[in-house]
Amino acid sequence: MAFDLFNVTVQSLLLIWLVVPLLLLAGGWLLRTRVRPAIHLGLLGCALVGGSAVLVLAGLLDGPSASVILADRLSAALMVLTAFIGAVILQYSRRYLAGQARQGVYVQQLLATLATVWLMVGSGHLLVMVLAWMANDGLVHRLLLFFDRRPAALLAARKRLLVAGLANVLLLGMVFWLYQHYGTLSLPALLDAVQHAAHPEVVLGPALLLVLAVILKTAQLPTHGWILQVMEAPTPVSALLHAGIINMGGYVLLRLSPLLDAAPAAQGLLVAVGTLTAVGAALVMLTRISVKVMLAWSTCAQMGLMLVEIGLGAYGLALLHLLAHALYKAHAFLSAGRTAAFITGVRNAPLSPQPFPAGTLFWMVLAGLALLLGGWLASDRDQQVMGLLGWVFVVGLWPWLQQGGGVASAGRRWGAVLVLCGSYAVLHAGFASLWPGAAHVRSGLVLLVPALGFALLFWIQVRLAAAPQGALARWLYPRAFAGFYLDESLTRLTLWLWRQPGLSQAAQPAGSPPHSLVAVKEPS
Amino acid sequence: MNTPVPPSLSLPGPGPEAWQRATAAASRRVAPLWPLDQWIAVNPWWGFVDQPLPDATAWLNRLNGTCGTLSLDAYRQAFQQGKITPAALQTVLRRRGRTEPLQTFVDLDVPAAAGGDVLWTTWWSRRQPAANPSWAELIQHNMGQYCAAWFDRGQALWTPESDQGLYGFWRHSTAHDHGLALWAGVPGLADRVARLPEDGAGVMVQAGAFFGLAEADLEDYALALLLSLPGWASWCAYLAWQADRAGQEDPHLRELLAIRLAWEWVAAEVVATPEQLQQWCQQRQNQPPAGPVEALWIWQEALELSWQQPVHQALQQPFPEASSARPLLDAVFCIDVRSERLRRALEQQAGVRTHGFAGFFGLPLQYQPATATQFRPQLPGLLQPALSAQAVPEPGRRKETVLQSVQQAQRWKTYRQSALGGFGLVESLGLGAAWSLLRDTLGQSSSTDRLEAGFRPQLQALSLADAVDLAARVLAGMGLPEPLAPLVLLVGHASHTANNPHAAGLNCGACGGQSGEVNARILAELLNRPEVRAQLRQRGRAIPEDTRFVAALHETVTDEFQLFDWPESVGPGVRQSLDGWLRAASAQVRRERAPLLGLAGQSDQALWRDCVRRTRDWSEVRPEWGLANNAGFIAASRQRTRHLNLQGRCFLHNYDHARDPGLHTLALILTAPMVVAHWINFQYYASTVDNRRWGSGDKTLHNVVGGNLGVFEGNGGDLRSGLSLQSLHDGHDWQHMPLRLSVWVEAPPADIDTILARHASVRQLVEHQWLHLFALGEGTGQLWQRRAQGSWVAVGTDFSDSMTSEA
Repeated sequence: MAFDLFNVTVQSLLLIWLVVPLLLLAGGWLLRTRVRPAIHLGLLGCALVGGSAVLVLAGLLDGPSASVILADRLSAALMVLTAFIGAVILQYSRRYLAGQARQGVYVQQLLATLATVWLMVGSGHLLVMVLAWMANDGLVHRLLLFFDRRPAALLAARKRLLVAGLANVLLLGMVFWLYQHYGTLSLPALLDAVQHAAHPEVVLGPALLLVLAVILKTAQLPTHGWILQVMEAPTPVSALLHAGIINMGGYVLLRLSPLLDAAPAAQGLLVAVGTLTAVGAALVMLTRISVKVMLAWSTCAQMGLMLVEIGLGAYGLALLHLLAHALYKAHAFLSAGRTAAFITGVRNAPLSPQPFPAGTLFWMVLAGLALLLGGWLASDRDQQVMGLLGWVFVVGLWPWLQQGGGVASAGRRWGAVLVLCGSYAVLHAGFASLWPGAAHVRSGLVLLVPALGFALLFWIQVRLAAAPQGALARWLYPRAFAGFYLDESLTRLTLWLWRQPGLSQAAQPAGSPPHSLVAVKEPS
Repeated sequence: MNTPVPPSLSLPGPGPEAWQRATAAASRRVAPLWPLDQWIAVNPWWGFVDQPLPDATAWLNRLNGTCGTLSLDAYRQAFQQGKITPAALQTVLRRRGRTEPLQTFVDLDVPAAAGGDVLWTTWWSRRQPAANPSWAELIQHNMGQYCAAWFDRGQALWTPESDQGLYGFWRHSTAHDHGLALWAGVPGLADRVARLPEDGAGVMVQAGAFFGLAEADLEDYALALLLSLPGWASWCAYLAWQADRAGQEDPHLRELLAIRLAWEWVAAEVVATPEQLQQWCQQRQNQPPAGPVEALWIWQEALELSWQQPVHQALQQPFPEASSARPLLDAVFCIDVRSERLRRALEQQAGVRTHGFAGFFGLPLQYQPATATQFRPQLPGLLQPALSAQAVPEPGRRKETVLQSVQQAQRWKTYRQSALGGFGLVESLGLGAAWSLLRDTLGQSSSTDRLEAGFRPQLQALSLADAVDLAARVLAGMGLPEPLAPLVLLVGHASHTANNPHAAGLNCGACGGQSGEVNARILAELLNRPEVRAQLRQRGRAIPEDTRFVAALHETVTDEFQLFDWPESVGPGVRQSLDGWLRAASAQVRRERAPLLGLAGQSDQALWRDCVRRTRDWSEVRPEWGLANNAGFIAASRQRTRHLNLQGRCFLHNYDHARDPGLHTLALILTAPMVVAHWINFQYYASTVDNRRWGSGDKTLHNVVGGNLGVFEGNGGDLRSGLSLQSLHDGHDWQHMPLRLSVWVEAPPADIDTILARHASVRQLVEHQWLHLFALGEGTGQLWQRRAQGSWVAVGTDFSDSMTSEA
């Protein structure tokens, strides 16, 4: 009897996962001109999805339970995340976009976007997942064109369309290959087949296609340009993109991780590109002068680290990173207007400069090296990965030592360091045990790439602090400020592909581009 | 007409001295733009007040395409809506000597204002509509980025250091920006920049020769260069303004101009053929300067007249005599238009008198809050601080603790933004952002105000003699009628909003974009000091023994009052009835504002709740309408206006001509508060008629630059000055009607003329039609208008004949 009840609960939960996206699509379309009911519907949908996902997470069930719908921890976590962020953004958009002619259409597109994300995350069928992702691209494109008369908005959206389109072709290629080879696209069956294949190395092809597609969709260098330029859409769109859309690449990799486990070359590619992006974007981020673009470069770098973690097989950590970054970035964007007040406060009580802390730095590097070496010596590859990532974390604490404030602040500073370390340790242990032992990095050499990359980043950071006017700083600054010239070719290509006249604001004299809130007319 | 010379073959162009003169002249015309934390309203065309407004805007149109009025369609719509009355339009037509029938004028189309081709890139871009990006965009983006990096005030962790100045920094960096050539599709662009002269002066001389610029129109050209980036030029003008007060000189406007000129030169060199350059040159020299479009200015004047007319009729009606009985309460408010509603509501209580005075209460103050180690100005941007005040802790609070929390926040910022710290922060505390998202969505965010609680402002080091001088000066300026009530409220104002980069713009402009609380509390404390009162009595400015001054704050989003430092000598009964009056007044004002906030018909409770939400809601882009729809400035005794409903559209300043025989107060009012009101008025005006160039665009795209320099609209480009569309427009209609300020002064025309003769800048404002000036006679019905030509015309006659012709 009890067993039956359990089954009934599961069935109804799964029904919610299936029905809510459809409900949102239909409701959003019907209510497209009526903002408030559409937002209420959306909030209801978010609550339903989020609530049922929480129940799943709470342990009602685990592991793939049906072939059509996936209801495991990974899916449930992503469902909760996107439901929560979706609800926050919906609520935020109600006042923020009030009075905009497009608000109704926007809410409709937002609901549809959320629906595609849930479909993607809940689907147990590979083709459905990929198609949902493609639909998601189209909808995000519409969202980015909220101000569709701004040339810069058009440019960014089209650049993204180009990159995402290529990624989708690669993904379809992967689907086709896998279907050819295994004859099924049901995810549980497919992944099981890959895991238990006699010759797993044959999946190298689709694994590479997958990795390349995700690299394109998570704004890795040098195809990152669009993520930097989407500030041409209203703040909540930026928040959604950075918190709920870009990290879907991470989800797909985690979902298809058996494919990666069987293809070390694909893992290596992920690690290499991720490291390059994390290091390069973090450097550029240091030079950014506007809050939203700074946040965008930060996203770029964070996605790089997430890919490195996936490439190294630290799936639990990657999931932690995905969730934490989404929440963190959503909040950072939505509250970006506070920057002025915050920085004014900081300016009005500046910290006294502190001499360069060479001694502390030495101990810190030593501790980090010990961590790195400890991991290295451990025969377990899992331990090595943990050692490496722990080392990145520890040397990253360096600014706490460099900051002034005198003895009185020592308690606060070390308190912060302790909180950070404690939280890091607990969460890492927790998430690693939540998703244990997926580390099958075959070659220790792969570890060397991020180790060297992050060491270089650390060294540069220390050099810049020690000699802000030094040769390195003078050489590097203009290049970092120019984003290492990585994006412009793609810009040029995009401009060439969509080269209709009248797009440019050139026809108008100097000044800002037009806007669509109100039709402010030039005298005619 | 001169025969145009092929530019590259021309004689040596203007020399360094000519450039110096032109740059200096052009620089003087750029109005300053204050940083976001002190964001006060400025007339962005302040540098042009030596010209009649229509000519100034026609010139601005030639320089950078500025529109100086609303569009013809907008005026026609206002006419249909009745915001422009036929009577007013008829009157204006007659004033201008136009004889056509009204309908003929209404149907009259106006020629398009073309906008200027002073710069080669503008001219070229207009002929290459398919070019993407256009040179104008490319230059704006490039200069926007490097200016922001150079002027950064706390956003970037890694900022450039260069001993070569802005120009040198730009040249060095752009010479390394190989991406630019790819983007523009012009190979070798960076190399061309690298070959530019090492200093700005060199660029000016060589580029001037290249373009064949004549010395005569060099100022125009320099100004067009600066105004192609009005935001950054205004920022540089702010730095120059600050330097000027410190007796220094600031090179940035000159360097900005040099960079912009270098771009002109580089662009022309890499794409233009000599024939094209010659064509541009020819066209530029042959083009007759377009004058103002008269029809639009007729419409504009009619719009203003349509509002003035009923006000005039009201002002000409008999007004009730002032009661000589001692009131129960005197309340001094800031002249801000938002005070008008509240004053009117409060005066409905018997025995309440209200007064208007600039919200800094005459204290030239700088203030150091508990959370700061630096001072911030608490006075109008036009003045210099002469007094200092500090937050001092009440028992149980320590300034060190508060400072430590602020500095800890600073350490978190550095960690968050550092190259490796961001990774660690996300993986350790990133999940905690879920809580922040929840808290902010529910409107429960904490603010720094919490840290300031438990501190009170205190004047620093002021001798008794100076304190008495100050008190006497302030009291004389306020001109409070006698006898003073037993309780005098000094009401400053502030606006609380969340997540709003332009929050300072809603605060008290007279207090430098801060809350007026500090000034009110300090003045109340000063005037309550027994020793100050004793000295004042000796000087013949006795304050009644039982009178107590109490500081208050008017929160302009909720229209609620907050009282500070309640004197214990005043009984609780008084406090109780006072609280009742204030609450009633607040509720009435909220009811009055409800339709503007889209809350018409809501219950008092619901209105209050929604107003409180607006102060905390991080997604609210229209927390209040600020000073939208401001239109008038009245310096008169309150008796003249007390019976009028001015709908929150007027600045009200106390003025009693009988007590000002030396015209000292009148001079002060016309040169300070009136000019500040005009600045506010024109910030709104310019942001409405040309938001693209002089406003800050759509608030949902705002992207804070350089910590608190200002905002970009979107990815980058020019720094955006002025008001956002959300501050002016509710999505259906403009909430601000751009009317030039109408100023009414209760003084004889001859006395006003005396002041105008002494102060050229004020005279220019009047004679160049930047505002309308009226004199109110002492008796009923006496009202004169100051004409541009210097004569005074009785207003009544002017209207009555138009009325009869209408009828």
